[in-house]
Amino acid sequence: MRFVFCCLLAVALLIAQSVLRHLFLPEWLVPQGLLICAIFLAFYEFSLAGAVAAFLLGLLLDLSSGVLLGPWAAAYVVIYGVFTFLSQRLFVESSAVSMMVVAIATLLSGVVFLSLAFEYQAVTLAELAMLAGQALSSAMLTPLVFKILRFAWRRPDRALNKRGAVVSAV
Amino acid sequence: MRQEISSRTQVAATCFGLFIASLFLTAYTAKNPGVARIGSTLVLKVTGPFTGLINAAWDSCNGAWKNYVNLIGTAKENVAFRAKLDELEGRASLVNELERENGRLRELLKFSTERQLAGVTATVIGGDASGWVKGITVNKGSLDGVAPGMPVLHPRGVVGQVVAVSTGSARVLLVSDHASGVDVLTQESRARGVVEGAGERVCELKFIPKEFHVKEGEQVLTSGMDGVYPKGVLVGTVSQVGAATSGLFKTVEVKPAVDLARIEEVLIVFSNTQTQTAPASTGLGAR
Repeated sequence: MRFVFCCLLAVALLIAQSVLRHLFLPEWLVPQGLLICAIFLAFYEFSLAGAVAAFLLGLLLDLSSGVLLGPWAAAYVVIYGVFTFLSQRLFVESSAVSMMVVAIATLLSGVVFLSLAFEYQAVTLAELAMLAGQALSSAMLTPLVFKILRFAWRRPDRALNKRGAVVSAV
Repeated sequence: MRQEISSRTQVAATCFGLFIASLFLTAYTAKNPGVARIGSTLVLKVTGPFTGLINAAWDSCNGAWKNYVNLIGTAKENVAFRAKLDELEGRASLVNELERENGRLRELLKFSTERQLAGVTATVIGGDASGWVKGITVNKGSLDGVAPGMPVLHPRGVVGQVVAVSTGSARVLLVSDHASGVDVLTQESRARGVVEGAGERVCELKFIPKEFHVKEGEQVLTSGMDGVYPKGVLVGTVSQVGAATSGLFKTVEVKPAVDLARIEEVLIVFSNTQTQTAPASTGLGAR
């Protein structure tokens, strides 16, 4: 159920990215909503399903471009892998930390994408600036996307606790 | 503890496997772009109607804001005359906008009639979600006769090529994208080469032999030899000619004729010959 929710959110973010890009924002400021979902999965879904979901999110972005399938999928899997193992030592409960993580992940995913999509290897300064801009805007969007996804990923015991029920510690 | 390590190994192995699968997929779709286009069409079928809907909603909200909410603000400031004046101004700006749109569409119609191109006009409704691929989404699809591979033009020049189509929308790869290529001729020196995208607003003219004296400011036109674009359509202007290097070819930079970041309407050409006719509903060729 939570993956269906994540999938719907991903499609909504994809549409939002496309419309935002056209109507309001220059491409260097369009946030990478799908990447934020992949980061969330890295921290909250340490499982095979999480890895496959991250791959599918990247594939969705590849499919939306219609040029090459694979570069974004690979980038998202790398991001998932790296941050899954970092998640043992890093807590993203604070918005500031999650924003920083997403900014770094955006830069990292851009690097992986550029190194895989051979047609895009002639990187210009403008494209590097775009990467920085996207990292910034993605970081700004992170608290909102995390909040929405946390809603689906919340554990029943946590929900009970909020209502005042006693949760057994052991 | 042992179980945790095993689960870690499983996730790491899955990530590695998926990464390798992605690499194979990238290599495969680089050789067979048709596969990527089929997938893209599916995504477009899901997202296209929503993109169109949001655009339409935005346009009507924008119109409402201009023509109504502004009016309330001024009405609060007072006098009925002022409100009337604002309303008229709002209408005038709307008429102005419609006039401009009309002008642009007329320009497209004139362009297609002059060149005897059967096609359909389309409005840009979206951009590429990742920002890395230079592409746009337009509001015409297979129901209007649009198919993958069709050239997309503007009265000022070449825009790109249709790469994926759903019933009501289509995705266009712009000439400024690294993955696009147009067979071209330079107008004066008659040198033949291929224009490929090279970044934000620049293209690169490749395979121009050194002995051709291509000058800055020279116009670059489609050669019609690629079987996609009709012959003689402006692609751009030579903005920079690189110093001769040890290779066989010159490095030439081309500035696209069309401001690809600002296009609003485009012409999707059904065929570069006059044999194919447009569908009766919306095709320019049928008008």
